[in-house]
Amino acid sequence: MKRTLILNTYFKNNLKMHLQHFLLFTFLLGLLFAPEIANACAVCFSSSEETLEAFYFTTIFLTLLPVVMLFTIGYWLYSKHRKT
Amino acid sequence: MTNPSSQSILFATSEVSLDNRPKRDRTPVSSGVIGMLIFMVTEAMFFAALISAYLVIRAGLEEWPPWGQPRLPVETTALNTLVLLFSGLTMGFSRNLLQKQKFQEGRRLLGLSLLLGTFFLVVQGYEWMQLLNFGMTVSSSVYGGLFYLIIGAHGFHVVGVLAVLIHAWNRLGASNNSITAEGLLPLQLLWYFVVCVWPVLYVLVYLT
Repeated sequence: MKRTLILNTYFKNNLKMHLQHFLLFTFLLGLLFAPEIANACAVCFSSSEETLEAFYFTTIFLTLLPVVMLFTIGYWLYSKHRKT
Repeated sequence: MTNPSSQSILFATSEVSLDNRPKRDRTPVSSGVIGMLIFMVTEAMFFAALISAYLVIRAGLEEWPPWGQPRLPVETTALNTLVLLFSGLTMGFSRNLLQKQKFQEGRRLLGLSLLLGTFFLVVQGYEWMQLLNFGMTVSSSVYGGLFYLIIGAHGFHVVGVLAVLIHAWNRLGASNNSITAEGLLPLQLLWYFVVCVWPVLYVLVYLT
């Protein structure tokens, strides 16, 4: 009985917060069923196979390029340092 | 036994550390070169981003180049590419001469590189005029927009490096010249970068 009273008091005090969370959750859930709203994506202009391949290639290219460049420069500096 | 003052301990420590410090005439790589290498990495990423955007946009279109757009001058630009590559070669020779303290000869070859770079820019400018006359502008199509963006970004870099190298060339000719071969190296590295990026752009934009 006492426990129920405590829980009731807790929910009454935090009702506004819970309501906000519930509304936010409902809104986000609603977005899942309305994907056309998310069509503002700047790169979703084509769904062809070539575009997909271009995305794969450029993702790998842009990921590896800085790693390769920094590793090369680092190794060059290290070898120079060792020589001196 | 007397307690040494904090000042005497400090002097003693500094003397010990000075004696034990390894003597090195010069650092293996100058700060200018390291700074320029870091800058070149950022520049390479800038061009990589442009290339990626070009590839993705191009892959999404049915026809490339789009219908109604003028074809790019492949042969003229191929010759222009050779000119730019040759300027990179003369820049390398000029560095060799400057390292051997042959400043006059090195300056002459540096001047030749700058002339070749200027020639490259002039031919590019002429091509742009022709393309504009044929109706290919930045806003005419995505083809024109990408072309002027990528090739223009490279041309802008060529102008920038040329301006700084011309200043260095002037200083090399002065009687109180303070520029050394090592001091000029960061700028020469930037020129090599500009030269090396161009063939990639040429193959990508003009040939494929």
